[in-house]
Amino acid sequence: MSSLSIVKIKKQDCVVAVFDDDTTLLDALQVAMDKKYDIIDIFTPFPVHGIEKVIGMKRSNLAIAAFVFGCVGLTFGLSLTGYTMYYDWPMNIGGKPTWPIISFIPILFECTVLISALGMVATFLTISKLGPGVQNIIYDTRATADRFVVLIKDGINGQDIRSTMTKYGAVEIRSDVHVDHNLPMPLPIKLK
Amino acid sequence: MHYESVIRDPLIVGETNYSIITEEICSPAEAAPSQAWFIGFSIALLFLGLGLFSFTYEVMNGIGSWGLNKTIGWGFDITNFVFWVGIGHAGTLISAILLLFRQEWRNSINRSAEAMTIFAVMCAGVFPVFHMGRVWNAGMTLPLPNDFGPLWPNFNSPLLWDVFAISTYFTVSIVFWYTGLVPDLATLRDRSKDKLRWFVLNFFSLGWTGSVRHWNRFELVSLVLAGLSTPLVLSVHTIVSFDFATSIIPGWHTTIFPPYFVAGAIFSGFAMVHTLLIVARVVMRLEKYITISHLEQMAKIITLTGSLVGIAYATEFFMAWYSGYQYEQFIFINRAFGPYWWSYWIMISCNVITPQLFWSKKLRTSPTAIFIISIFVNIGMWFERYVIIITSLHRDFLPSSWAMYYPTWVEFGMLLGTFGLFFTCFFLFCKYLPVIAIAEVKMIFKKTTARPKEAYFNLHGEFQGYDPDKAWTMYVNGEYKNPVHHHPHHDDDHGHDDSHSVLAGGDDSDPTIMPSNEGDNSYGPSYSPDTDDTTTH
Repeated sequence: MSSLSIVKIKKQDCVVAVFDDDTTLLDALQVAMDKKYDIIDIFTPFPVHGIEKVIGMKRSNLAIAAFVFGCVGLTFGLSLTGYTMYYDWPMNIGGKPTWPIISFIPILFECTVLISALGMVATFLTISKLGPGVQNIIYDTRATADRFVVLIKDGINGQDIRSTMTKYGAVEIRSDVHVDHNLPMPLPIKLK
Repeated sequence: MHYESVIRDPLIVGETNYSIITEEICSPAEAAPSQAWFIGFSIALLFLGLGLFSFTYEVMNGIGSWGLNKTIGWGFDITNFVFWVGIGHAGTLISAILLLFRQEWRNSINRSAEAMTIFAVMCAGVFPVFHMGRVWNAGMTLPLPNDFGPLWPNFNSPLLWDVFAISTYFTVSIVFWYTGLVPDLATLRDRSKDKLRWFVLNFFSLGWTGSVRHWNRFELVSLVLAGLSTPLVLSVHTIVSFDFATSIIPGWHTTIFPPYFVAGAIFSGFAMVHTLLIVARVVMRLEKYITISHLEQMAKIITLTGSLVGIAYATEFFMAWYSGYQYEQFIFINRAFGPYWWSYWIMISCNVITPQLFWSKKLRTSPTAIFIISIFVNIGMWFERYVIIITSLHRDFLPSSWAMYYPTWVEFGMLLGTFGLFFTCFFLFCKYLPVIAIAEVKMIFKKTTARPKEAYFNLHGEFQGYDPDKAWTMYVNGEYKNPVHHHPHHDDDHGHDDSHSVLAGGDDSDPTIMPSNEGDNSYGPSYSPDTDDTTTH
């Protein structure tokens, strides 16, 4: 690409600890949190219940996004029906009112649900940097099958990290480099 | 974290672990198609071809190639439309409503049920388009700016509400299904052996990594989509029922229609899920995940909704009699004893009598019986729509307009064609995509197959009485351990409260129903660095 780079890349040495059971994973994570290790990321094949509490992750705000998109959808529905049936081409259909909102409830409801669902999913993919063609780095190909992979930032206490994780049930310990592409917007191609 | 009562049937039977689950569900999607698949797929394609021919013939020759006339303006077209839309509703109910009700048995059937919904809605959507005759004007149903004024659709009309409802339902169903499919596509991607397959699967799995941040949002998105889909599925079939209920035709103009149609939709949809899954679970060797217990729960829902449909019939009769409205009364007498009496009695026997058969435990736990009954239910529900539409139209207010309806080969061709389309899509789905939601099944794996259940059930999921020797073991580190040995103290490390395990770190640190040994919390961390040597794997 050109010399002008808008991409910030952060590289960190990390310890990759691989577990094969979610119960031991939660145990080990509790220990890691108590010892104040810098856990960069955790990859699991399914959402492990209780993990948010252990690593102190807050509940996502996507529900608020869904609500806002729902309001947008309702506004869109009201505008559509209002403009077409009341402003642009009002008609006398059996003497009934020209903008009967009650009668339009099915339309308004469908617009609300549609925009809310599409908007929320689009937001989810955008903020998670997922999308068609996105190539994220996979640190262990078994993370989507039957292994639970923890990335802990390596440093002075690297030996301590490795021994603790092994003690608490890691089946594999590796060293790797965690690369974080801090793109302004998720793009379908990898910029260097 | 909630606990599950031990007397509930295990949802996954047999010895499994996460690796086996992944392998057993992914390998059919990666293997070459079997001969059975080719045969079934070819038959489905044949029917689809017949359908394409019929549709083309109808567009080129006009609606006159059908058996419709001025009296009976809606025949097979709308019957098939409502039939397919109804079938689609079961998938969304399983995906969305059962998720909200925390019914974990949905996890192994929701992927295929939701796929069934999408294919059924595709088949349904074909009919409103083709029954227009001038299908190239189909875009005029949408409120798009045009050169005719601009001419807008009539937003008061239930036919337009249908357009919005079905399009929204189709879009949201696809979004919900696809969002759930993303992690499973990533599982397939990470197992792929060649570059092209990796690239295609990575493209469709949107670069999914399995990061806990993404899973956290994913769970919330699933929950909110379920919350949106629930009123959506209820409203869509209500709006379809409004096509009839907002008219003045006797037999149609009744307020029982919305709940009656929704219950009927769920009824026929679950029957179709049964039909598909009973075959699929045997052919694809997924009996461990789609157990008899799953089929039984669905059979119970069929009994419930079938009974609701029966009650709706009774309500209609009662209101016809109680109202004293001669036209309504005539419609029901005509349905039972008029020229279409045979369709009416097929409907009654299939819809009212057959679901009641599932009160018998023997019948609702036998896959053969369930399969046969589900076929009858599907036939019965098709005839219900036929009866509602044709008998109400062919004899309404003015006797001089009374006529008969004789469907032509073109209409039969279209019906068979949509079955062809449905099964073609379903065969492709079964071949190329994971039929069961892998991540969701793994999520419930520990809870629903914890060894304590094997104190009550054998490996086939059959109840066999309580065996105290088998109780109390836990699945840990890839093997079953007896927690009598374990000790939750990690005395050199964190000073965390040792009366709670990290698993109980949620708001409900609930005790299990089993008494703990020596004051230990049985479901606590099993790994003890000081005593057991558990580093070998």
